[in-house]
Amino acid sequence: MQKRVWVVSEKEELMAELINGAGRISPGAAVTAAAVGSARAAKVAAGAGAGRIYYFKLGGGTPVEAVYTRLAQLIKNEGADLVLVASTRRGKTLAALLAAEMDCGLASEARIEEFADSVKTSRFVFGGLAVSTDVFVSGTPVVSVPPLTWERPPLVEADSPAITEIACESGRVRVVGQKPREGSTVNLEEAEVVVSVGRGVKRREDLAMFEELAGLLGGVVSCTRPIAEEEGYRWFPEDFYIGITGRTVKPKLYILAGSSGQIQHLSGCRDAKIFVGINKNEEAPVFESSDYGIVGDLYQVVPELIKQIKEVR
Amino acid sequence: MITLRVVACYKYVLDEQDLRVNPGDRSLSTDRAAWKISDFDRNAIEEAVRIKEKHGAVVFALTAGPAGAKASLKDALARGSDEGFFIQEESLAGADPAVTAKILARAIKKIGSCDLVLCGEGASDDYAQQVGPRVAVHLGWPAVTYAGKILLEGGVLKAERKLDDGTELVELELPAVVTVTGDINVPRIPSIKQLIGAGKKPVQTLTLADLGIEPGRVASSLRSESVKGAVVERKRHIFKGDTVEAVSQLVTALVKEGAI
Ligand SMILES: Cc1cc2nc3c(=O)[nH]c(=O)nc-3n(C[C@H](O)[C@H](O)[C@H](O)COP(=O)(O)OP(=O)(O)OC[C@H]3O[C@@H](n4cnc5c(N)ncnc54)[C@H](O)[C@@H]3O)c2cc1C
Ligand SMILES: Nc1ncnc2c1ncn2[C@@H]1O[C@H](COP(=O)(O)O)[C@@H](O)[C@H]1O
Repeated sequence: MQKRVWVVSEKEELMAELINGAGRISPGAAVTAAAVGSARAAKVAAGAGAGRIYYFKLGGGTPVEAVYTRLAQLIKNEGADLVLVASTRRGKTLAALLAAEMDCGLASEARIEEFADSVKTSRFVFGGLAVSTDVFVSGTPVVSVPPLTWERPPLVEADSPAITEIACESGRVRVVGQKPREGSTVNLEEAEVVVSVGRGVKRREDLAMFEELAGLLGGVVSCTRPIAEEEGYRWFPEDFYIGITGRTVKPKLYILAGSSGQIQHLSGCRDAKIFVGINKNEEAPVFESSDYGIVGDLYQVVPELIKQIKEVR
Repeated sequence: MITLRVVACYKYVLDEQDLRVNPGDRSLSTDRAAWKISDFDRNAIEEAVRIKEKHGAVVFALTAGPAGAKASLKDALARGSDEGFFIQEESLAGADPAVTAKILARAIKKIGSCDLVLCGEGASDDYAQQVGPRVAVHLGWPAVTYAGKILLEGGVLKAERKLDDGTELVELELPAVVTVTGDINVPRIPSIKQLIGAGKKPVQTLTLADLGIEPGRVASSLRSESVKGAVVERKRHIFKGDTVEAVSQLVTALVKEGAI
């Protein structure tokens, strides 16, 4: 039987990805798209082949999440075998509100393992140490899906009579301002070498030696979560750290210095081909996850490493 | 002045740093794992206590879990909460956040006349990021998630949400549910005096029946099939001792691997 899949996003590229994904997990599925606050996402949904599209036009000050009651009604009225929500932070919140409103289960940041009579999902738990596999046994399955789960087709915008506009006025939460993040031009995801630093680095100026090391290897410098967002650090853009709640990288070489190497961080670089840990504490967990490790003070190890790499090149 | 009633919800979780994956069947071994108040929930408790210090408030620490979780209340109270509420329910070990949220919402109604509920952005074990917004729906209150900063002015709450593409500033009237990020504050470590004082603070232990929840009313719509370790095996060649020598061994190995 033809499956009815709803895809929900406020971002056009994620909308296209979800529609592509819906076709992957259930070829020929009837796809209904809910584009929240983005007319462009609605047009992209039309271009990507969604059969029906709801464009939630948000009034001034209305947050994306405010659409959840209206969206729940639509899904209930029209029926769905699966609801996929793109898991940006707004998307994850919308998914939780929606699932509560519909009294349904939700698998957060999950992969769809099976979509037949029932829906089976898998997701990381315990900071990425383990994978939990779950089966929906009742209600409409709602799943939030991490970006880049599926291939992202080129965005094609189309005007379509299938687009229905729904005006949504501010609920009880009013958006009174936005501060866009200063964009970083560094492409972490495609870097072949990543050198990451943790709290073992004392001063911001000391990043220079890591820049030099990364430069020598044709790589980029990134960090652990505290270095990006904790008070006293904030040395990198906030979305620039590696880990389960940050970026995922798959470099050929990953060097982690001055970090304990806890599982939440390692989850973001588990697919690195070669992993090198540098820590002054022999007991640090980072060594369990290292192909090669050096027990020592990074302030001695890193300059020496730079020196010796220059010699072999 | 009316005293604010603030609830800090926290989950008592296994410390993931202590978990080991059994080679072979990849099952998780938890026997040597300690329990802790979930990381970002310590931020939620701290923020509640800061609100108390600034505006005057009663802070309720609320947790739901199996009997063993009761031991956590001392820590939660030592962190500055005034009263503890423990909802004892065995089936909550490894529960679906949908079930947890329904129970917590009932408990918050039971505590009564609450103005603000604080949760962590996500629990350290399942990091589902669901319970906060779900509780809001069940209470019929607005939700603000991923707050990196909150400010109370009169009955209005202003929050700075940390989102993927930047910050969003929002305003709303209380009552509300707010989930906080790990960088909203730096939680204080309880002093010995606070730990002793915590033993004297009131704690209520309630069952689902006490909350008027019939058994079976809060069934999960998800069935857990398995939880399996996902660690990558690494070579673990660790060099120590003389720096020059250790670095030389590393560089030799990396050259051999074709990595540099
Ligand atoms: C739900 C959740 C999600 C999380 N998600 C992420 C995530 O996505 N990414 C992430 O990175 N973290 C994440 N964390 C945080 C994570 O658990 C760790 O707390 C964090 O990664 C630790 O950062 P660190 O290694 O820089 O600091 P620390 O753990 O403080 O480690 C510092 C290390 O530096 C070493 N050191 C100190 N001085 C020197 C020196 N001179 N030379 C050599 N070594 C030195 C010390 O021995 C120590 O091991 C998350 C936590 C939670 C609860
Ligand atoms: N069993 C519980 N008892 C009290 N609070 C909880 C419980 N489970 C989750 N929470 C709260 O909900 C937040 C999000 O949890 P989760 O949706 O599981 O990631 C946590 O950070 C806690 O603040």
